[in-house]
Amino acid sequence: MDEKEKDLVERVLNGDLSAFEPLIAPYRKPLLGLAYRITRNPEDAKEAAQEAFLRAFKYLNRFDVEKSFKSWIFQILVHAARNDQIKKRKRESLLMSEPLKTSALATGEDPERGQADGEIRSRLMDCLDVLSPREREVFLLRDIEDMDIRESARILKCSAISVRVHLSAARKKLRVRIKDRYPELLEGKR
Amino acid sequence: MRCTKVGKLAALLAGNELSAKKAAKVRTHLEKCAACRRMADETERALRAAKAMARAEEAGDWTAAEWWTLLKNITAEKPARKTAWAGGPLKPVLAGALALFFIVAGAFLFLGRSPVKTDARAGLRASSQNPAQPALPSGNPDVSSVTIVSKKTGLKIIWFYNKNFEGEGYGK
Repeated sequence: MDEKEKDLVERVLNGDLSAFEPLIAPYRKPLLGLAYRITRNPEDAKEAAQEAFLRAFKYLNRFDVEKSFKSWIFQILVHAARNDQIKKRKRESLLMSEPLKTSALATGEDPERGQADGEIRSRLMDCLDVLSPREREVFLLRDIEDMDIRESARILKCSAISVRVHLSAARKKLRVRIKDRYPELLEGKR
Repeated sequence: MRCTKVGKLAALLAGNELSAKKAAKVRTHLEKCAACRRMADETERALRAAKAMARAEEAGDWTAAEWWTLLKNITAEKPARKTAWAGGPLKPVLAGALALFFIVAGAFLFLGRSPVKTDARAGLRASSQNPAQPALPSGNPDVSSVTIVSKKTGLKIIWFYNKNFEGEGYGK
């Protein structure tokens, strides 16, 4: 953890609430992105990210400043999103029949750009659909968020071996999915 | 190395998660096996494609107004406070001290208890003229006794215990 973050944590713990925003601001987009890819719904993603920030604030005194704040807050988010998924599963049949909401898309000036984003989004989401919840979490943390195996294992509270096994399975499934549905993505230069 | 094993390891090779030794073994196999080589190549491309899709994707964001409302709501909650014990190095020390206290207290209670007070043996000794009766260390507080009397025959068995709970008895 860098000194700046350490200082911000200390300030929040000493009652300076204005230090909380600069502490979490760098993780605002990455957290929302990860939450969206786990929950596969923009509204649920916002809810999970909001819950993660709230828990981070409430339990900041339990955070060990010698460890990574990023790992800690990502861990909170993964658990919040997981809980959200459990709730969501109860009403899954209803939500699965709804088309993907695009309200959370960055609404650029160019409508074509928005359409392109939507297309890419649905492709990625379509690929993630073949993964089990654990495989998806492992894949997102390791390959999309670029966290190393140990960090991913710490966040998911599992062993590094488990992360490797799920990661291997996730990549294999992803390859098959892309090959089946989007073979053009596998073409081109190496 | 067999193709099935390479199939699993090639997925990890794509992300550089294999040790140098294992990676070399997989690469040696890939040089010889065209099917595995194609599969490993596809895995690598698929991984790159997924990363590119993720980079291009906008996962949404809060508007400035939403963000500040969110922050306001969060910080309106009871804030976390630094406490003397929170995450400090005293936690294991305190736990150790408590464990030690309970062990010592438990041992003290266990060794200090006695089922029958030693006073019982004094009356018995006075009434007994049996030469087989063991000599009691008079005034020794570490000796206890238990008396068992049969209602039918009147047989009386007395057990004496020393502080190590070693018994010695005689009948009357």
